[in-house]
Amino acid sequence: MASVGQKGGFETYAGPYERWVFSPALGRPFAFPAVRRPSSIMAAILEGGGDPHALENAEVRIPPLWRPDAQPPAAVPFAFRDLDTEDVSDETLTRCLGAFTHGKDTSRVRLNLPVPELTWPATYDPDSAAEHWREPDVRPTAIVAVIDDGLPFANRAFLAANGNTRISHLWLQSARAREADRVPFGREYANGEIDDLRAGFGTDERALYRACGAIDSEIHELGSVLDQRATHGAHILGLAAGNSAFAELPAQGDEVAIIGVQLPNTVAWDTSGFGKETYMLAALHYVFARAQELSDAIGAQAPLPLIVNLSYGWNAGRHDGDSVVETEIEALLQSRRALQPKTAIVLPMGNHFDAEMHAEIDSAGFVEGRARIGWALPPDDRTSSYLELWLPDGFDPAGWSVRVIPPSGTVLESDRIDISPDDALCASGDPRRYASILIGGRTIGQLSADLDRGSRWRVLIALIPTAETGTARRCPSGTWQVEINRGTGDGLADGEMVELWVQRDDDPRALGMGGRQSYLVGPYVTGFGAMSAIASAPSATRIAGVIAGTSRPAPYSGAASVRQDGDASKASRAEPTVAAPSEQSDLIGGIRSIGVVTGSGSRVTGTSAAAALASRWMVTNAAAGREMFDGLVALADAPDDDPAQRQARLGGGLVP
Amino acid sequence: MSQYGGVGGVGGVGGVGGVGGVGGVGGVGGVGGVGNFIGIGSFLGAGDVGGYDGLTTTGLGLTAEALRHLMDEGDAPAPADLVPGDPSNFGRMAVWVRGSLYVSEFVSGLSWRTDGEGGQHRATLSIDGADWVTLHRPDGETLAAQCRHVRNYAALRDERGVEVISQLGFPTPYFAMVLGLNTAEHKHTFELVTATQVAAAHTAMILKSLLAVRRPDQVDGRIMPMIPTPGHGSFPSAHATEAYAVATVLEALTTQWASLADQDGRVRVLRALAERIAVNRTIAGVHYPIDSWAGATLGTAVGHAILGRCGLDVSTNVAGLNAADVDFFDADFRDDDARDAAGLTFDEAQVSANASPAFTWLWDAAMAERQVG
Repeated sequence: MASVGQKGGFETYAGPYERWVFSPALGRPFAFPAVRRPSSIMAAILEGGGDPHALENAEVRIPPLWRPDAQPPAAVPFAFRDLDTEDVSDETLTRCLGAFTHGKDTSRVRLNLPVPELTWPATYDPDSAAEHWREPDVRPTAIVAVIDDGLPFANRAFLAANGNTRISHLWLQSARAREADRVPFGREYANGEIDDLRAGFGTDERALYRACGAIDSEIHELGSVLDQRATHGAHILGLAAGNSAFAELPAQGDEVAIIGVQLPNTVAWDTSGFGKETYMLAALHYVFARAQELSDAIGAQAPLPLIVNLSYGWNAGRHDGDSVVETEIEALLQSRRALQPKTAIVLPMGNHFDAEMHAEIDSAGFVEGRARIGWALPPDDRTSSYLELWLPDGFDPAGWSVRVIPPSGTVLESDRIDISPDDALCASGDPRRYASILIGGRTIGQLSADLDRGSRWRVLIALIPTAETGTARRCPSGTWQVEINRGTGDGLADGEMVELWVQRDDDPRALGMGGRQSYLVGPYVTGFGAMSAIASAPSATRIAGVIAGTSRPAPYSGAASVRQDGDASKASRAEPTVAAPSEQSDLIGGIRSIGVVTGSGSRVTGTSAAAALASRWMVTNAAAGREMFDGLVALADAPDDDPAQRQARLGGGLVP
Repeated sequence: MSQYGGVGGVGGVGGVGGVGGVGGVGGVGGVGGVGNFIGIGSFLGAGDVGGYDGLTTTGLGLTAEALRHLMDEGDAPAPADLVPGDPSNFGRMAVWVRGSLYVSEFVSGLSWRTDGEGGQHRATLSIDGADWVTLHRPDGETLAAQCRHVRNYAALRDERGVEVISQLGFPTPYFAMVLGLNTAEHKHTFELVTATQVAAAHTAMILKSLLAVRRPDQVDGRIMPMIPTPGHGSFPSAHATEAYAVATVLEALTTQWASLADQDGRVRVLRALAERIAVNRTIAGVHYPIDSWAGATLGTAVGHAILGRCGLDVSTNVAGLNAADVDFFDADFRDDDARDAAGLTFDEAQVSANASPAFTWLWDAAMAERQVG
């Protein structure tokens, strides 16, 4: 049996999150139900030019990709069904990953969350025609796309004046599969089918959702989310593309077509930065591909303007534009802007400015070659906690190490890792090294050092829950110290720093995961640089949240890092593009939008809402032939604020 | 009932009296919120005069002594006679007295029996001598399988909690909201609703006692209900029985009213409300979906029986439920194929219930509350 620590086993191929999450001896007992439950279908991403179809004894499916130049993307999202086993175990994954990367130095495979078997169509035919699609009566002049959870596609907020839906294409990634489909998993609906459903079910939207597979309690990744009063997706889709008294926004005309992708719920179980990229990249490619299809179908000379709202993200990551999701966002935007300049992917800055989940340590933070920072782990956390430390891009950490010091009263038997490659693990994937954190012979954590995508060293600390979980393993709660020791290695140059991000670990909307948020403690903790880990692509449109009617940022609205540049400070390149309201006023929190069923409303707070408002404004401009940012309002003067900090929080203006 | 706050609520029927006559004179239009008692409670005390406080009693005595001499001496004159058995007498009675009559009229026609042994155990309800509904007792495997639905529905506890708690008793305000009922205009409609609820509750308790089905929290320790588990069996759901009985009666009443221009839409909402009240009990963790199937079946029958008692010419098909492990939805309850899959069958045979005087009087009074002119 291939087990942890055995050369030639899973860790020969796996990255740090996969090794932790899929290894029974490490984090798998505490992972999402989706990981713990048996499935023979996995989602994954292959980089380095390999072909996923090279995998033997597996049925491989690549989602619809937008490839204007017919070249495969640098990172190919795909899903594969292992034909040899009913269950995803670390052994079978080892075999699969080995098959991909054996003897190919450039290939890099990352596993994602499994695909539920009920969502796997018997026949996947990506090139078949959309038989239920019909041309809209009003010719579209722009497209708004929303990628989110719980999309209430039958809500009357999305009807055109003639009573037909404005939703041109919709992909529910975790809906029960039909016999055959144009999507590799889940189910696609074209506008004609949505209209037929609405005609068939009259005003009963819940019955419609249940009958067409949009509510299905047997699939946890879909579940009964649309049975709820409000969903994140309803709120966002309502703001970006809906017409309803509940949103109190200028009407959006029928010339704006809508494309939707509903991600698996597990993507919203945001208690780990792991496992979602396949679904997100597949969603982005799907939107771009269907936007092309729509443009072609109406005989548009150039692809229609396209504004994609992706009100989603996570905390820990490179934050330099070079993560897989970010480089693919950049590639998609650059390719499409060459054909249609009015193309945007709109992302929220994130909601953790004041959550003490980010720190930056420069050379002054090292005393006698060592720097320490506190990491507070709350008691009764039932999920794993993750802290990422990132060294500067291109930095050689030879001689550097990291160790963890538990709260007093606990003795660790193994507590440190060198930031250097383990030669035994260098045959495939990124150079990396693993070490365990042990108490009384039991593994309570994993230390890893990996040269992410071959360019930047990261140390990931993963700890098991602090709650009693019946596994005979428990991590002590309290404030841990993380010590970075540069040993005999080079110090940081001026302007260089070690950056830390804690992964989000709360429990959104009582999904029952029992996560509790850990946070950093000490003088290096800052909100500047605390922002979404998928929003740093240079061409992405980043949206900060303001309190409406003011030029003041919402207290949580994520911010770019502020760096010293000579004597002056300046915001890093990932500053917000613009800001939009995420709070109605100082007294009334959140922004109003629709609930799930027609005639219901909800109020949601956060930069997701700001992003959706910005998307609506941008697509309205584009549909009318204006520039996307036409009518941007200047920020009010704030002479007492540091200009660089203000720029890092609010960017270049306000959405009117 | 908070949405009616200042007006004193729908308490005319379900007033403070529910606690057992505490309400005294205040029974009509009393503190609505306290009236959330299930079973027969809602009638007890409504309109009950109780006794005066000591001060008033003494004051009345003093006044009587001072003024009695003004009357004539000798025998009192013979009064004009009331007509025995005349419906006009019902209008002179306190609500609780009529309530007693409604219960008597309804249950006087009920009989019940059990058949079969072991896995074939079933209970049959007869009304006025004919079999109306037969419920087969679900086996342990079905209950165990049903628990997955109960666990799944717990995800909605967070947002349905307010409804669950405010529907512990009869959810009359929810029906009132849907149909625009208020205490000024619709006191007899409220009385009809309450009479229906009480009849349905009694009927449900009879079948529960015959079938003896464990509650979900006694089968699956992960369910952990958010409200106290009631002291009676799980199958059928009394909430579903009552809600479907009320929806059946109100659908008939408002159809005969013919005074709501959007009647069709309101009927859809009425049915969806009955479903929601039933499902809220699954969310709370005290009922399986098959309890709602049984309750909807039984409640619809009770509703038709009440309409018969009210003097309407309605008949219904004899129903049998041998519940399969399915979730409950109103749309499925009204769909032939889904009903088959759920194990619900209707015989060709039609049954109807006899008219009775108090219910007939009540129907006419409620019919007079239609908004016209």
